[in-house]
Amino acid sequence: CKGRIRGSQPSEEALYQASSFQCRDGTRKIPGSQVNDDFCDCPDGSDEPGTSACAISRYLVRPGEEELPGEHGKAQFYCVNEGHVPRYVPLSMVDDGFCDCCDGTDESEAGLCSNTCTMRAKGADGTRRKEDSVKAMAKARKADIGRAVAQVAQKLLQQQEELKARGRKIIEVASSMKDNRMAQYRLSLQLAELRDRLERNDFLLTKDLRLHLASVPTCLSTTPISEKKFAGGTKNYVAKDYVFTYCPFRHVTQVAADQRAWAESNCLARLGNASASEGSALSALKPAADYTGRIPTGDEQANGDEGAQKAKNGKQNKTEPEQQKNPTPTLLGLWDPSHWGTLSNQSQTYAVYRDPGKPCGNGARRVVNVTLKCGLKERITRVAENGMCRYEMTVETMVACLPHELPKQEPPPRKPQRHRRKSRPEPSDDWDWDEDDEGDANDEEDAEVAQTGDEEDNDDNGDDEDWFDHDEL
Amino acid sequence: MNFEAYRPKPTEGSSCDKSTFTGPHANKFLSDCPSGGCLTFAALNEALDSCEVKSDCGGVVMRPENGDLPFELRKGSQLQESPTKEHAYIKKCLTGCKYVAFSAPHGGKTLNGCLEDSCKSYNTLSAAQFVCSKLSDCSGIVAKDNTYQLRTGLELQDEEGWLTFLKVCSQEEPTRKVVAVRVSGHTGIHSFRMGMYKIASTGERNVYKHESDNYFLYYSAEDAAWALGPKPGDSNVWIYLKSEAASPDQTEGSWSYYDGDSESWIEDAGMSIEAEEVELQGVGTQIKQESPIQEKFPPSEEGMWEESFGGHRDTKPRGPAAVGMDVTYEASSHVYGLAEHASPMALKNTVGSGGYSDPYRLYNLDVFEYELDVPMALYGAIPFITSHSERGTVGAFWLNSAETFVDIKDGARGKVSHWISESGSIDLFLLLGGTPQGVIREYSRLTGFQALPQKFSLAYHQCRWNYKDEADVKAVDNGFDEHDIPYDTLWLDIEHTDGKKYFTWDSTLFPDPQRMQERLKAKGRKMVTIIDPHIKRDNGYHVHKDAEAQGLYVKDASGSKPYEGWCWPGSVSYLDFFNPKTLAYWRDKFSFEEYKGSTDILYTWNDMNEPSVFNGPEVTMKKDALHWENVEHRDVHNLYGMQVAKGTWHGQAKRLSKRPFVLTRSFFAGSQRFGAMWTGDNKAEWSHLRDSIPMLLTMGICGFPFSGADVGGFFGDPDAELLLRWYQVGAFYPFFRGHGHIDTKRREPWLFGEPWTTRIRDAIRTRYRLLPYVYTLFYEASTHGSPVMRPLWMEFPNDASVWALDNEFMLGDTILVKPVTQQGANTASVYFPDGLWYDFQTFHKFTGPKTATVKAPIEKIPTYLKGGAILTTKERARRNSVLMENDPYTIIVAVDKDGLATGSIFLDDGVSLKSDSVLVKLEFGRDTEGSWLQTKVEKNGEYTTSNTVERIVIVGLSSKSSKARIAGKDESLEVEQSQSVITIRKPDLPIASEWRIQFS
Repeated sequence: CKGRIRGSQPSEEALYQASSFQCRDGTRKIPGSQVNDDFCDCPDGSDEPGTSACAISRYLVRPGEEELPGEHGKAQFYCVNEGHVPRYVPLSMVDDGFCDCCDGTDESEAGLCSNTCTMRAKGADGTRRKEDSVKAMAKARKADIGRAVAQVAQKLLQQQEELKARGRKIIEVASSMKDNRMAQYRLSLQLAELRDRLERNDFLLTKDLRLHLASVPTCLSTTPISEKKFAGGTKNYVAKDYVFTYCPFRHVTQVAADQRAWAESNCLARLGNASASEGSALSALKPAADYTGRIPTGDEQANGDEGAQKAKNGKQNKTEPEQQKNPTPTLLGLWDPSHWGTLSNQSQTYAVYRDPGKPCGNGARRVVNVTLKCGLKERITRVAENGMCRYEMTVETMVACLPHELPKQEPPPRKPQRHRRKSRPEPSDDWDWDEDDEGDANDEEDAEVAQTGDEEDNDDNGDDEDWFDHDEL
Repeated sequence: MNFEAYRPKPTEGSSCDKSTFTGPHANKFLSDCPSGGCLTFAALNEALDSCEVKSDCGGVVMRPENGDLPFELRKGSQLQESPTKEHAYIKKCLTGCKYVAFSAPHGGKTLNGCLEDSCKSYNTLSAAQFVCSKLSDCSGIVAKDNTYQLRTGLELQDEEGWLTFLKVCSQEEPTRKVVAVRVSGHTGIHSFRMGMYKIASTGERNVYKHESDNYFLYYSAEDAAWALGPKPGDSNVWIYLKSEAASPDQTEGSWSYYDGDSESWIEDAGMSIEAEEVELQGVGTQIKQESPIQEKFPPSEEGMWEESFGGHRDTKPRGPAAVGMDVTYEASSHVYGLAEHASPMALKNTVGSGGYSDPYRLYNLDVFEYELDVPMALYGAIPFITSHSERGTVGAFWLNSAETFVDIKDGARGKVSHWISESGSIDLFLLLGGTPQGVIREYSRLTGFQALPQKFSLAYHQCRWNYKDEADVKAVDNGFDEHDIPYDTLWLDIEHTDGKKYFTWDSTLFPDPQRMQERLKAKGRKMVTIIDPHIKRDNGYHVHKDAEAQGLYVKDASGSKPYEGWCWPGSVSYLDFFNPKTLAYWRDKFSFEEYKGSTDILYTWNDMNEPSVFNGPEVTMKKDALHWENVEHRDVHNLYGMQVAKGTWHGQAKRLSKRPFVLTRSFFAGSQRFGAMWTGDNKAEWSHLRDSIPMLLTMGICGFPFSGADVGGFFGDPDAELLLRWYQVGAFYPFFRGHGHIDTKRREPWLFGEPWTTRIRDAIRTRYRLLPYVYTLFYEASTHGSPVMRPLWMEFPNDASVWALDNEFMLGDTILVKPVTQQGANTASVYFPDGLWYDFQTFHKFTGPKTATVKAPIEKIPTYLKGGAILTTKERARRNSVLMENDPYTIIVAVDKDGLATGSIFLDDGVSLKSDSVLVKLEFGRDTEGSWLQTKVEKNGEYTTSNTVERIVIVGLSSKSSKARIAGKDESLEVEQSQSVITIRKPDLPIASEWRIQFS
């Protein structure tokens, strides 16, 4: 009987200790002396669990076969890692001079590796304990969240009734105006909107993630993040900082933080010969004609003849007019209920936000994938733009710590679930379906989005009314 | 002249509301208008409509003495300002005849039968097009003797004695391209921005740039407005007008300007934009023929002493200085070389039919999204041509670093090359090498041999613009280990720096670069950072301060102050690498003390060294900029990139006392002495994968073997299939690096999931297996100049069928590679030259010469061992080349028809500048006892290695050999036989010693 067979799993050692060895894939039988003899005899690499000899292409072991590479070496090196968790490492890492197993067994050179298993186990324990305590705290607050959810659900149901009533009313009006085709058309649009909202609410009512809705009543914003940090770089001379705002089940936006400071340093970088700190001195020297202004939006232009414009922007503020209001946030995506799911293996939930509007610079549409992760505080922990206009966001929320619950009621049968909204020309029109408060709705949206940049993490005891109002948008 | 004639008849009920002049004088009445009538300024438009010829102008003059009604509408000569107090303040001239679509050499010629000399020139061909209504309607110009006629439709048919030499058939309305506009009328604070704006970039709506300053006229899609501002596309502007017009001259309404004092927008009705120059382009076919009429060369041409191009003025203080010469290659049918062009390996004719219509251009440029199969200039230039025919191989090297054009044509006695350089002297070397290898050896002796690289640099490199921060670097590094994919070097692009100030680190993203590098080093890995030659003009930046203080910058034409331009960091100047002081300064910048945060595993990438100047002519430096000792940039433009790499090379050599590694984008003849090059910003498209083969083959032909193309394509997102196929080809590039643009999706080899990860892993591992062989090829390149990636004509010079073959290639003299570059392909057509060939994976045998269709499923790289070659590999996969150092070798013997084979393997420590080495020559032969394999060792110094041979594979031997023993020893070796493959198990012979194995 031989000693321990290096690299083999203890339960399989007997296989390797016989006088002959059958390759695990059944292709060959070799003398037992050829196990771990630093030459690869089995196409699957199973005869060399403890050397790097089988980290090779299969065809060299069985030449002449039509097999292509890719089939080689399924075998791996088994680290017992006593005191911690056992693991396999690829044969390519056996005796390569770099310690991969915490027990150091993948390297045969004496003294090269020290055993770090106990230390690592401690670290892993610590992490686990932390996770457990977060989960426990989340569990303890489950009842609170549940109550909030119940309220939300109640409100949603109530709203459903109102919406339905409104729908009936519209149908009534429509049938009384049969001759007015224009009115008919407008009413049919309103009706379509109503249906849309009914569906959306129904959908929310069937999803356990409404928990999240209850715990994050308003929006979350990041601190300013450099585009170098989230996108990996910038095509500007000076990197811009952005604040990202995530409004669950509504939208995700980004807005440039401190546009003025950026514009100034970007301009200075182009002009050269001055460091950013000399900015103010430089602007004093600049003739008025060097200042640029931001092109006003259509509305401003409409109500402004020369004089009015002056009065409005006038001397009240010493900065450029673009600074007088927050820069317009860019919509990165509206919530897309059709993409929604649970990443089974990590118990993470994600939601997708898509921009239904104009395509982004590369012709693609903006997409934000939001991953929800278990955490005590509601906050955005990571934003990345991986490839132009493809955003990833990780949001920590307590509800992601809780086990997912089954829907409490049957989803109302509505088909097709999605996605008429896409075909509409303007996303904003989409939301102000109600003729009466058309103008107000628009203003509200602008204001709301602009404010979110200033919002810090919110208390989870938010005002239900609050998010409902937003939902009206 | 009676103005009444132009007065529109007042229509009943019409009002003057539609006035298009809305300035401060809108709705003012003209002096001879009936009160309340229609003769306000609005009528100026109508007056204009009645203008017929260019000289007809309409305008308004103001006569203050006329009191309440000071304005008069006038036309033609009357509009001239009178010496009295009259003031013409609106003036419009018809531009109808200024459509300039055709310029040289017949542009502006007068057509026969024209009444107005300015109105019926060739330029109006465009106008003639408007007459066409159906496809058959063509317009064109016919010529006979000194007569030109503009004709349309059937009239255009060739007529006896007349030659149709320009013909445009149009199916659709010709597109209107406004080339230049004149911005005028504003007299306020932005008045200095008025003037001529010329097209700067084309698009759905063009961007125009002021002829002398950096003011841009462009369309902002976000604002749906035309705007005049400092940065195209931006919403922060000086002047704008809300209009979605296709071009700025077609906008309607008033412009508003930003008044920085009052911080408000002010409308200015006086400002207007008119088209100054318009090109009309037909959509149909255009046939051009040379005119039968000979032009006389004028004594002095425009552009000889001064030239303007794209808004840039070249002062040309030394006047015309071009040099040229023809070189004919006797009896030659094929010419190669002239890197760098995205064109086939065999150079096309540029005169006559069937080839290009423009000459090959050599002028190092940073080309955005370059086109394929065109002779346009790219990032590097090697003015060297090799010609090959059955009579042998010869070369011509035109040593001139100014802008150079080369025409290729068929002459009576063979291929003719016509060389012309803008300045400099004629320095022509004719290389009569006789054989392909002979010519390249002579050329390398002249310009230098490929520097022998460190071994790690021949392994796989992982790059991206940009790995974001230390955490990202760590994640990518771990990703390779988790997926068991080898890589040696991780690259950091421009974003790792503090504000694109090279030799610095962004302290937020890379707070501890040394620790990051130590982590990589622990696993045997390396890092490369980008260092570009443009220096940010920032008084807080030490390199800038030093360069200013010590006068290290390239000077502008005045010679007194640094040349300035824009590049990544904003305002920059360019170090003058022709100045020995700059070279010494640059070299010292790489010391560990100077380059903070760098360690001994850090190497360098020189990009943008054409040099790239974002706001310069053709995105490069002005030709009248001055280098050291007042050498004009014009004379040395193509050398600049090489000088940068040279400086970097010496800096690293000094810092490391090891072989440097420098990757450069721009290059010239001789750059092979300073590292590697890559083909710049290619695209993630199959066509670019295909085109990388001839581009890299040409680099080998031009004596610069260490070359590669970005695997995956720089711009755009490759799908999994394209990326995999690219890795499969890239594994055989001399320089093997994956790279992608910041806007692309991440594409590290495992991101497409299985089965793609496994497939890409196999492709990358193929490179690692072959590293001992690839390294030996680089040794040959460094001593003989021979290419690593070789065109077939170099290995099979007598087989005329391969002379233009550039979709397969040889890696050295042993491996034939047929890249799969077709989407969805699962077979490939392979040409096998004379001899035996063995599939590198199955050892299936092919006998050449023949073309065979082989299976090429998605996992397969069709690669073949040449019969008669011995290949030495390291078969064990590791996480990088350094960790493979102690692994045993495998020797693969592929026998020829006679059962013979030879090969060699070069061994040294792989890093030292001047290292001891061993060249092992392997020979497989036969004697009366049977076959044998033996080694002969050529020692150069004291190099030794304990590495052994773990496996010997003999492929294609017809006679069965079941026994083998080492000469001088009794024990027999373990031999396994499978089909036609014999494997010797564990001979455990030292690789660097002499031994002999006898088979029986």
